Amino acid sequence: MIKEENHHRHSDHKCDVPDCTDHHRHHGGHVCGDPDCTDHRHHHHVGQKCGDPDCAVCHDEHEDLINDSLVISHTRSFSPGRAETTDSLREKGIKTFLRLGDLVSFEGVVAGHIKGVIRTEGGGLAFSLTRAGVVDVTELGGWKGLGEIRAYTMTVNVMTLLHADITEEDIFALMA
Amino acid sequence: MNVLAFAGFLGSGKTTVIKNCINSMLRQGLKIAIIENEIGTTSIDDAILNEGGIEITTLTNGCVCCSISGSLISAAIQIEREINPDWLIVELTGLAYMTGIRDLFAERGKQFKLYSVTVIDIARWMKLLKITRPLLIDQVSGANVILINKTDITEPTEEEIEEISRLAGGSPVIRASAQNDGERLWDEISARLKKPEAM
Repeated sequence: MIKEENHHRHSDHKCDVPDCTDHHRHHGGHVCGDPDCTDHRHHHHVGQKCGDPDCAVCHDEHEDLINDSLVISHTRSFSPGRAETTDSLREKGIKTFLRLGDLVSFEGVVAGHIKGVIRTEGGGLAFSLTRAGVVDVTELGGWKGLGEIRAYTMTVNVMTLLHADITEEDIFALMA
Repeated sequence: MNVLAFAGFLGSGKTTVIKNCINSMLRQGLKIAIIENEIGTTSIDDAILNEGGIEITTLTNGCVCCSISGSLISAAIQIEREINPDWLIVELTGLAYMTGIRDLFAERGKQFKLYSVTVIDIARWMKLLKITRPLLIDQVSGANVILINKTDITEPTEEEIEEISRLAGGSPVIRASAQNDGERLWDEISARLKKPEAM
């Protein structure tokens, strides 16, 4: 099946998909303005690019969106000198996320999502922040029943469309 | 195999909606499998969804609507062969374009029946529109069901509902709070999943 674009160009372009039957078919009802044009259709298969750097169909806004985003995805292990409790670890996690929220929010909201999870042997805590000052916390597994926590891992994913000047070190320093 | 894709911007509440739906689906005796897609290298949401004890396939480090689209179809084929669930739930990344997913299934996944739900974070909707309008419009346009989420934080205005309904192009629009509405969500969604995406 051919991916039909609303956009078209007057072009001699033929795609390189061997079984494509859609080369040079007129795009019904659409006129490009060139009186001599006999082929108003410029089409693409999924993921295919025609090679023309000026082609607006090929210009991948989605790729730009991802490339221009801030993406941090990292896991770190902690073995604190003094054992944590469920309450102290929850508090640390919340403080970390609130600080991150302050760093990346725009007009009070995050143009993306900050999420993370603390994992221990018996359970975990998931954190989510989309608005500055508000952290959603979800208990996982047997979190409530945990006693002293001597080792845990923390995974944090920061994804935002707006640039923020933070690094992995900044994130995990907040947990130290 | 039915494929139910959940789209929606980063942090819109897709995982919470899915978790609630899964609980209802399991209660109805439906067999489910999940594909989780993350742009980052590490998945977080599988830890939350794993609570249900369901097989989860994670596809990380890219978006299945473009850079790792082949992985989605390959994973779906494998899941159909090995698990053959009633529903394969796909949680898309918050940056996924629904048109990309529809094109992908139309071209390479014709054997599947694709349904889609787009989750909107109404508490951030107007501000996010200023930042990334084309993406949000794409996610809303043409989904089978639009779920306006986080109404416990912000009730949508009449203007917002009108605009979303217009963008939805006739697809049903539901208002909900994934935090509070629990398992009612699947009843609301499934009642409106009348036909798969046009292929």
